[in-house]
Amino acid sequence: MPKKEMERLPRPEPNSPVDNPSGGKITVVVSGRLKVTSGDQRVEVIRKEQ
Amino acid sequence: MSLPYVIESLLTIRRASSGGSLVHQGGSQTVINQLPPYTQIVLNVFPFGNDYFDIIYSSYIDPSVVPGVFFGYGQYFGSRTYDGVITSGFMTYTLESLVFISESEPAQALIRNDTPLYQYYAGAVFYVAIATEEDFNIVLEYLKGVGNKETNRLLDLLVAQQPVGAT
Repeated sequence: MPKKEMERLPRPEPNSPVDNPSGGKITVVVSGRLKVTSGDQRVEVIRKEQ
Repeated sequence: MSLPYVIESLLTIRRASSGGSLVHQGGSQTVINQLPPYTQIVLNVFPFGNDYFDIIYSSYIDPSVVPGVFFGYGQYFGSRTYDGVITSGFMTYTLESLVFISESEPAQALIRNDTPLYQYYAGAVFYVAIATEEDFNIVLEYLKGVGNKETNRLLDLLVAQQPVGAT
């Protein structure tokens, strides 16, 4: 079977807070064994360890 | 929550050397305490550490989220698992899917607050992790050996989604 036979969907723009009136950082808290990132400096991803 | 048959099947694979599990199960939660009004964020989801390949088999939006305030979608390589306003249905049911992620092919999630108020978001995904390329190939051989409808479907999808460079 040929690899990658599905057509790739366009990836969303990583720098994507379209409008953030507060201008402050947005904090995303992640737990578990996945690595979550955001390409935007205004989004802070915090890993919550047990 | 009962596991999908094919995921349960993967969890039975044992290492020939030690008898330990080849595929490991896990869950991961994402919380945004305050997403500002009319703001969207995009998150990229990769396997953690040196894991080679993860299969996300279900997800849910927490019932504490206010229905109808977020637009969102989740996608990987060629598929969107959902796309639309997060209504109460998304908080009532666990969404089953087969989302494949690797370092070269992360999944993406977009979450947008479509209201003039700060909003709270919480969700979780459940997955199985395959640590190495060698383990991935053992999984493929196992699925070929079982050969029923569900395992053949997963096998076809895994072969199509195998990370570039894998044999």
